[in-house]
Amino acid sequence: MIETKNLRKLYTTDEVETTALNKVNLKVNEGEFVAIMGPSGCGKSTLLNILGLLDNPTDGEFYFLDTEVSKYTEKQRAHLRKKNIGFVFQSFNLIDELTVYENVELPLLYLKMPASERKQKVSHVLERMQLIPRKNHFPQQLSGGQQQRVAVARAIVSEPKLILADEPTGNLDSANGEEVMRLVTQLHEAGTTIIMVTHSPAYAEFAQRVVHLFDGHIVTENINSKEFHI
Amino acid sequence: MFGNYLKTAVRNICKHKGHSFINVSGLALGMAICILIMLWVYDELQLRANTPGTGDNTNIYLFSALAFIILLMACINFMNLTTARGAERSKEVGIRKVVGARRTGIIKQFFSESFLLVFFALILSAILVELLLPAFNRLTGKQLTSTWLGNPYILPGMIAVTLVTGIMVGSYPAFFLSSVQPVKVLKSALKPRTKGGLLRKTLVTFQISLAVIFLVGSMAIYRQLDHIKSSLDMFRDSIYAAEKQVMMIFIYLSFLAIFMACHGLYGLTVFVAEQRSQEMGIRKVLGAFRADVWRLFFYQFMKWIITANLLAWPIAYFLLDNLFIRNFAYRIPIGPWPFVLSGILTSVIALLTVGFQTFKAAAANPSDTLRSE
Repeated sequence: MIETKNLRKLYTTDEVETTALNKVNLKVNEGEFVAIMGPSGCGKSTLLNILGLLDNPTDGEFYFLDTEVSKYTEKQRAHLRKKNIGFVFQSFNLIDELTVYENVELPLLYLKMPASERKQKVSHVLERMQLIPRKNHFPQQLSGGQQQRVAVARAIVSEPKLILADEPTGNLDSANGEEVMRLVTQLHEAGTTIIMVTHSPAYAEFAQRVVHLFDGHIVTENINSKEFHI
Repeated sequence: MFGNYLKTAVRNICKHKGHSFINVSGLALGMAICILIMLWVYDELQLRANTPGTGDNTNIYLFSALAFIILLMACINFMNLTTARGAERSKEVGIRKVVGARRTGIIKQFFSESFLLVFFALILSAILVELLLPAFNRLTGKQLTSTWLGNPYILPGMIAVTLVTGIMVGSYPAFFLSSVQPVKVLKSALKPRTKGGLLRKTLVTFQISLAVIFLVGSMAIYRQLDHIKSSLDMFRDSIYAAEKQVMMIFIYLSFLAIFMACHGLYGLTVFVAEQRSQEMGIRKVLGAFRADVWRLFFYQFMKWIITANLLAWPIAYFLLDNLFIRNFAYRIPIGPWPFVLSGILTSVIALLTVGFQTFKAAAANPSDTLRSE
């Protein structure tokens, strides 16, 4: 599904050049659940941005669904993104001015889906996330855990092939964190590919494979033994 | 310590050269017009002192009020642009407070910055007064000169204008931004959102309305003049000259109003772009194209421009019909064209003003605007 070859990302300001990613080779198969770990500033978010087609690498190759996309324009990336990728962020990133229902509906609007189909899909996903009683609330009226459930609903409403989660439990207490992890695991079991950045070794355990980043390159990859016990 | 304030002020001004330039030039024009009107008022007062019995002071009050309103609007636009990037500045204030700055220190710092900009504006306005004086003399039929040192009121007047302007434009940013609580701006993962802004939007809509009113006025009077010109005789000649004078005043006021509305609109654009940056980032992550995002900004600004036009049209019609055109000896109905043309013109000018900023906001990479650090 995803393959990178010698991926590099440089950030250049007036005088300083920072290497955020250096020769990253990563392969993620369809249906896999991969966790990315590493200390602050190791390049996790940069990698996730590139994998999520939010940003282009400086050089190297990036195959998304077997297509080389590293030189894609913003518009081409937006096309691919809205059809294939769902995002979950640490800080939820819901639009405050839109209700729960409208937030979840947004990706479908950009897919230009007909209204009746939209309504059906949004209602379905809200029900699945137990958000029906909250559908006319605004994000600020919800708890952190509920807001993240809305964000997950929004990420999966268009049934993307890939879910990218950037520390989805980072702003939540342990009970809500567990809840989000349970949702992510369910999605994985239903066949969705998941790449998740996390600081928590406990949550990384949920993944099949953990990739450790350090100073912009991959240092180790371990297969989680837990998977084999199941 | 004052040296430090000044150093930070200069760096901040240099960092946002575009904003600083727009701020200084907008304020300078307001101050220049204010000074011109003050020169006129001074001249009129002298005239009246020399020839007792000419007692009607209505025009003096009217023009003094106009000068004050123009200066006030320029100041409001200045403040709005200064505080538009409040989120960025409030982080700076938060850090300063953490390392021990007291509120008074921060107030002083923002005042230094404002006064420095006002000082630049003052120099620019002195140049503008020189440039505008011939046209102003032609318009008012006076022979005003800006012999700066010959007039005993000029220097104290300038100092007064600078002080009043500096305090007006400095106080809001200083007191607003110095009240920031460090824990709120530094600890939260999210950017502090600059909420609301209803007052800003109302003020800018009001300014666009004023521009529309003067534009409609100019065009309507132009049509009347055109009508008179088609059959000129001796009697009409004198009317023509008098009405042309009115039209010229309207045209100058239109330019001024358009310029000020653009200044206000620019500040509002910066504010809105900042306010909605996170939202637009989210939309782009979810698959919105640049054009989709730009369209949202476009709708928002068009809404205000249309509101401003709808507010201005009846007022313009009422004022023109009752105050000006009714008194014209040879008149034709105003007709729809001045309104339609003013609407189109203000839309085009407004969109050109907001275009660059909103394009920039629409092109921003979502991974930058959604940064959690």
